[in-house]
Amino acid sequence: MRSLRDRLQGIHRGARESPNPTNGPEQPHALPDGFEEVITDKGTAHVREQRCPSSSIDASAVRDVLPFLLPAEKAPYCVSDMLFLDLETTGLSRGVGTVPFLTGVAYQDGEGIVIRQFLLRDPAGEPAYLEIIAETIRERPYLVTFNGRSFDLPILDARYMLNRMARPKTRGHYDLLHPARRLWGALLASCRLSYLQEHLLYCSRDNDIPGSEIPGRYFDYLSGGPASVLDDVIAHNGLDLLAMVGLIARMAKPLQGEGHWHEHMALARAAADIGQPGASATQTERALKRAGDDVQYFQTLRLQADLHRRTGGRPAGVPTWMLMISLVEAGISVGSDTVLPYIQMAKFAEHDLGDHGRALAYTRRAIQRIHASNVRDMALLEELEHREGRLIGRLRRTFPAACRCSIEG
Amino acid sequence: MKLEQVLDQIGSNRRFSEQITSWVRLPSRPAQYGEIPPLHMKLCSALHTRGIRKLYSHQAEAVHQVQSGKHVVIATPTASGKSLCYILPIIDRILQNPQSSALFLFPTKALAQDQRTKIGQWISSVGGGIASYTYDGDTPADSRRSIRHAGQIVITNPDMLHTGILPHHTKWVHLFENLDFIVIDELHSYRGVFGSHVANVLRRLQRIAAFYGSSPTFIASSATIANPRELAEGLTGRSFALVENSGAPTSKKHLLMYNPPVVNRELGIRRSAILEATEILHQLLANDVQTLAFARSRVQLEVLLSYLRQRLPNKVIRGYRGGYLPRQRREIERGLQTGEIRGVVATNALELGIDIGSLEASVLVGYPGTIASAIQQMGRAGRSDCPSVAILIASSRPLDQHLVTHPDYFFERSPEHALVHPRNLLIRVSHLKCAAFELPFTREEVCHDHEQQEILDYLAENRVLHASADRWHWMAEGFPAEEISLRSASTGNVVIIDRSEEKPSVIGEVDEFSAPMLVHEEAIYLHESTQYQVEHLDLKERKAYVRRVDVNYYTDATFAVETAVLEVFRGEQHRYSHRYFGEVRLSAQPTTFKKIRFNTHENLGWGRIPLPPQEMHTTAYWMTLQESLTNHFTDGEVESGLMGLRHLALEVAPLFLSCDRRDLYAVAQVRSPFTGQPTLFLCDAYPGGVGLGESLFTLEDQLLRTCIDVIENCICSDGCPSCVGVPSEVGAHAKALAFRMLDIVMGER
Ligand SMILES: [Zn+2]
Repeated sequence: MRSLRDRLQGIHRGARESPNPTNGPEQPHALPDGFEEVITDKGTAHVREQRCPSSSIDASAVRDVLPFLLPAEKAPYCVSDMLFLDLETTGLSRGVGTVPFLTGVAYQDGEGIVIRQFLLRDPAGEPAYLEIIAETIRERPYLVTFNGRSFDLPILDARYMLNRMARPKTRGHYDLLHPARRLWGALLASCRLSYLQEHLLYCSRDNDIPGSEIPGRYFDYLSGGPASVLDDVIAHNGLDLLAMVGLIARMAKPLQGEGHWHEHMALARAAADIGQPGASATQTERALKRAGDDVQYFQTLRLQADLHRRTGGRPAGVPTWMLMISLVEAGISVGSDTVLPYIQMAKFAEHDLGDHGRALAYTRRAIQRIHASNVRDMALLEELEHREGRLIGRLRRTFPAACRCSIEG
Repeated sequence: MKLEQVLDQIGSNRRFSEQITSWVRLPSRPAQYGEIPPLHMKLCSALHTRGIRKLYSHQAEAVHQVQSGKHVVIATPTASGKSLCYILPIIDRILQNPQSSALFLFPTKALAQDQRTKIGQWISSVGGGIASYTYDGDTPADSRRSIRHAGQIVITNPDMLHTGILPHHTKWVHLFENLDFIVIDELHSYRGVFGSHVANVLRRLQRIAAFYGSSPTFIASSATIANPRELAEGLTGRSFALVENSGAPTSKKHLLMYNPPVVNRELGIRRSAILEATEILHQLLANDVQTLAFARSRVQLEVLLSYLRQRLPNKVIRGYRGGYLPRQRREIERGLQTGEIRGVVATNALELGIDIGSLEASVLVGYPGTIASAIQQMGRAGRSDCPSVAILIASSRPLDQHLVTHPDYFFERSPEHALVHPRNLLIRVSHLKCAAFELPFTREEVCHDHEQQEILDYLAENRVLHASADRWHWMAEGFPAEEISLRSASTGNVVIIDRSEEKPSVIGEVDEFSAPMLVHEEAIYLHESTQYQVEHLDLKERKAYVRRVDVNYYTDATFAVETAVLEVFRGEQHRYSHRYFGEVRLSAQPTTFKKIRFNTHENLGWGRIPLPPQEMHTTAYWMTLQESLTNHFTDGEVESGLMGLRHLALEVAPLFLSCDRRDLYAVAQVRSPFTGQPTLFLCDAYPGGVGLGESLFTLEDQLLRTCIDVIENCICSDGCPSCVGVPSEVGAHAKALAFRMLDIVMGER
């Protein structure tokens, strides 16, 4: 007769082999270097604290650039209210079974950056672990994360719910992923935090543990492996926190005049979106200087004209559109949107000058441009032909006979 | 012409009347009413506005039972107003307490959409204010958030509950903290492997509800099966009150059983059901009887449709294939209502609860495989006050031949048991992982279940869980719910990939053991009434590549199956035979396959299957023939009789189990190494079994009696596919020998 265990082995092929479980659940696991016990209302938690006196949060960067990039978030009164937060988890799925076993936070006090890391020494100790994290967040309720909106914070929320604990209230949350994508998405091959750190902050992560190995290290630790298996994970977490601190300062760099064309464009758009035309104009001026080729130059002009139009009305855009038209007519390769300045000029002629003849001429040049191009936007063509017909109708009514030949020519 | 005149005409035409094996006239029955139980004022006036002054007796009883806090299963016929049994008490509760919430489970998305409309109408008739949402794979990401926070009624399917809701329960706090009701519609569809999975999902659901402090009441509705209460209790682990006496009125109904004429008596060959069906459908449609016909496959459907359109060019006849969009369904529904559409030919896809309106006649071209399906399809006719007719045209399959002389199965008690086996180890272990992912197991929680403790310990040793002092915690990467599909078997399934379109898509899965039999190269794989041909089977990668085809045959693999008994759970000894239930090791070596023409069962060709043998552990029922019996026969006779019995029992068993023939493996051993006697095994085709073996052990008498009945009534002389199989395969006298053996065995009972 087969025992339950035999049958389990029969169906459970491919299960991971158990490495000598020397350490049963009764004996607590050894703590990695530097961790200490802290007593909370809910039991003992495990914390490591490190100081980085040479680093600091760039307060002016926080004040200058974050309102552009994350306008919806409430700004902290003081940078010492900011708490950088990053989790190391047992997996990437967002279901409730994913455990954040190491939570790292960084903040600034009088002497520089402090990194505190909380380790879930054993799943049974989760209430104490969550309690001390909650206390830390309550002290500094303005969070800064990288992808925290869809990963770190929902995972923490689920853990508080599972342990029937209230989750700590936050006052603001700067998730740096979205602005990073905005600034560097078109510039860099990846927007992963470690990649940004290497390519923008020039901080090598050569010895960094690959993210895919992190859960396994914790499982090894729990099943009796030495505490040192976690060292790489702890170091990785610390690097991630410092990367976020560095990233904010790096985001503000283009404001000081030294950025890539992509960065200036992103900031110009961001400033325009929140209704700061002055800042936006400064950024487009810089972008024009940093444009790497005719296409980028043309795109910048387009943005600039658009900004002018938004602030000063259509006539304010005219000089830039005329410049764009001269570039197009000079045969310079300017990418897509070549018809845009013609359309704008046609609108200007029709609505602002009341010069239907000139409007018709611009419209026809736009139609010719579309026919000459190998990519044809049929909807746009239809729209232009409709406009052309309408203008011809107007002209006929105004000059019944005189203009016939020129209109139909 | 009126329906009954048309029927008279058919009945007086010898071409048809001689083939009608039975003609049952079911009288009309007036409604039986019960008092409307106390309900919220708004609901009372909504009933009043709709002209409902009284409830049918079963509705009143169901609402009363629910209100008194009992779990209730309602098993009354199609169109008896079952949904009101749960809509009323739930809306009542929400009106009393707007915090209250309910979860509705439907087996398919289409059904969920249909029911949502119905529920929505009730909500607006009580003045709105109740939020009901459908949450399934099609729900857009941005509306998911509001559903999680505001939905009082959440409508979903078990698969979504399994992967989309339970593993994210912390986002569903509002639902779980206030969960008062769980509705399980179409209960009977949760059987076999699917049902056993769902039973575990429902245990997980209750565990999460308990975590948030709620203990919901179950309201289930089922088609007529033999064991609705047992099924509901098996699925949920709770005790149920059963409501099964319908108070809904029924109109006068004719039930006709029709057996196509004999073409060759000796070989037991009859004219094809499809050809007979066109004759009968022609009679009905030409006389303007609005008719719905059910074909067994898409190919049959097309054949029937083109034939009827040719002969009746002036009638609008529509096809209804699987996967129609609601818009297309409504169009057909409207056409039927206005009378513009005179006939619909459908596949089984139409059967599941979806309402396309009522017709005068329903014609089943062949038995659809389960009594519950047949009753649902027959119930498509006769929803109004007028008389209606349901006609079953038998194919040559043994069960068709048996049922055509036993109409009482369709209106008396159903013989069909819907079975689940939540403790199937493979299924159970998978769901224990999911449950641990959702919430750590406490020692206290499992202290009464030794097996569960052992499984959890085993998983901890294998580093899937982490055992701390008083709990087991999920401690592995990944998302266990995504590794298990409720609709199919084990881990390590072979995925079936359709390459018909530019973008390949997964259309199904088969378990590893059955893969060589079901999806070997050149096999025809049937999915939602569409045929696919297997182009390539990659067992290593566990992938079968298929392409859509339209052919007039199916394939049947031959394989040498062997069994070895591992353990006996139950046994019973009689004088001439012994019966057992236990665990066996099954090994199958596929050899060849045949291409068999639909209806005529003509052999169109064959091929080899060059694949290695497969092995699995499962549960089985087996019967040994004792010496006291075999003494009366020569060795050759015993072998021949046993072979015949094997063929027959495999065909007949599904009648009691609500399963497909392919859910069982039949093995005959002339001298079993384990029993030392001639033995017939019927094994559950799923690793670990889903309860079929045990059920056959208990139902053996019924099974063998039905086998005798089939042999007695078969027209052939020495065996045919409709009874014990063809003589060239089972021996020259298998029919007589099998009959004598069964006669002796049953003689003493
Ligand atoms: Zn026969």
